[in-house]
Amino acid sequence: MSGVSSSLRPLKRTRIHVNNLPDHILSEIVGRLPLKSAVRTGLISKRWEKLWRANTDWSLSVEMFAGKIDKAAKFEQLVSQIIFLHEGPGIKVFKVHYDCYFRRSNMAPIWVEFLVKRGIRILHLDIREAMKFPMALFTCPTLVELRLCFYYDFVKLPSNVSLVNLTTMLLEHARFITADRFQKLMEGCPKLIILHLCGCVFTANIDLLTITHPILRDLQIDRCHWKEGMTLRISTPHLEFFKFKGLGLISNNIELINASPSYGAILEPEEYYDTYRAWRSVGRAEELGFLIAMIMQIMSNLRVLRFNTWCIEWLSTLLEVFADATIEYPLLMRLVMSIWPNKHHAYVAVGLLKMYPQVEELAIETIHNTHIPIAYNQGRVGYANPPNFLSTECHHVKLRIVKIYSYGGTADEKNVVKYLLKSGVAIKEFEVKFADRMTNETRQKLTEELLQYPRASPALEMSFRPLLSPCPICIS
Amino acid sequence: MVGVKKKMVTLVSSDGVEFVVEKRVAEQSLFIKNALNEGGVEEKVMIPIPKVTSDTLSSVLEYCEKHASATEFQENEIEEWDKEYIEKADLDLLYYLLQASYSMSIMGLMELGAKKVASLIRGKSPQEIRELFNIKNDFTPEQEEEIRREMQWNYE
Repeated sequence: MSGVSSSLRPLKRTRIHVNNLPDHILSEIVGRLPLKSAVRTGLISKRWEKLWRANTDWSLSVEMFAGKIDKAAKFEQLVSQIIFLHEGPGIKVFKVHYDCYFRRSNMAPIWVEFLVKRGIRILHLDIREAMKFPMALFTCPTLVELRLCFYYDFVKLPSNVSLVNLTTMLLEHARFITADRFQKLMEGCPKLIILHLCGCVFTANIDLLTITHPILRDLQIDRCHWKEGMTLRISTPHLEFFKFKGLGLISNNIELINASPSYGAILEPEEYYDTYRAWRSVGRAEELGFLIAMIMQIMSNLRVLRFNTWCIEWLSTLLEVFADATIEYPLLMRLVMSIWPNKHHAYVAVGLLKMYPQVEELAIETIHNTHIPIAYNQGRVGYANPPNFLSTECHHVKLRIVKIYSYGGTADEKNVVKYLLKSGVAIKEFEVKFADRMTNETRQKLTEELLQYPRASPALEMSFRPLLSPCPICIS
Repeated sequence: MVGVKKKMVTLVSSDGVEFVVEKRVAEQSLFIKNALNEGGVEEKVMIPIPKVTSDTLSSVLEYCEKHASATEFQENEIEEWDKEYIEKADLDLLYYLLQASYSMSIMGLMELGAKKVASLIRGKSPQEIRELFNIKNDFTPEQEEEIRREMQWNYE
């Protein structure tokens, strides 16, 4: 603490009243209160009456009235008051989650129209009501971030979208009936940097979907639907982050054009076991492995790479081929993967680490409790084996941080941990979080074992993450 | 930077007390930073800080000094320091700090102060807040009733 003496202050200072503070400061204070407390300040005195309505940043959910009678009506009343009786320079940020429970009130379009007129910048509409949006929303020049999400209806975007300042767009459950319509949307948002498509539907007449944008940096495709065999062509020269999650990686042709340099990639295919078996039976499981390799080939500047269980599964069928096909990723620092507790996934996990010796941080999460038979050794009879990467010695000189999550203590998991401790000569932090639903005795026994495994790194510190703490990989 | 003479500026409080501080400390205030930029780079800069008395200013500068020397690696530490710093301020100093941070454009300090006052208000009834801050209720009973009716959804 610096040497300013605080003992003198009260003597010199004259008294001041809170009401002498400028409006701006009082609003700042009220704006930091939870809504109920903020609204109550309106009853303090005339000076305070309207302050809470000057807040320019709102995040409201109908669930705040959970358990109340007529909660949708109450919520509507509140939102209307906030929007129509706003006392400040105009609402800048408005995030609303609203379910009108079939009241058919149609207030939402009026709210949107009003907000757009007053220069809204960030708008999140998560509305469970079939509604038609005012056209003004799609030509709003002040909007920089827009999230549209409906569950009772599809988002239908007009053909003449013009959001000249929009940088972030999150579309959930939107439907596109022509590829052209999508292209128009991209053209109408020239400043777009982040595009997340979640649960979007591309109708069956679309054979080729092109996502092309001159400055887009972050593209996430999350559980979207399209017809089998559709070609997805991504042409984004400034793409830095790419995520694919969901079904269809196997049955689509994904082409990434000019998509370098990339910083991070998350590949999370989620095939059905039955589909996978069908593809395997005709010898086509490898195709997806090639596809993954192809997608990755383009991203030369990757720093973070994340694979889910299905990705590891695909790779287990052709890891060696994959190793030849992918490039080296000189900047790759962090490797994150989710595996099933079986021998093959253990091999792939270690195989990938050997493939990328520059990796400094490795996180492996085991997914238990899955209903897919091939997740376990006994369900893998007749499946191809990747080479046993655990058997060959190797020193990992770059690896400094290892995180093992949801550790269940199966023989295969133990082998991976033993391998890492034995070969990671430079590991400093080694963090373990045990799987849920494990008896205290088992945990105790596993802890003792973990602490006794031979270690190559003298500086290694093993720590155990508290049981109920969230596991960083699971959160996505 | 070893061997380089530190650039100093002189700040003058509303009651005429002079504070000589490093430029990088003073520049935590956008108001001062702008004033320095406008004034060019001459020696012996003197900047009057209207409406901020010496005792408030010394407290403000304590904050600026800490934040000017903080690096991103000390985030936790600075959070702790902020907490302690604002905790020891009484209501009057809190008001003065808010006022000063507003007029001097020190966003971090204003946020810190506003957060502190908000934490005092949170969960209290209007009457309790009036008592805490010594505010007179200037609504007529009818007006008060009217507001309650408007905000009915909040008072059930």
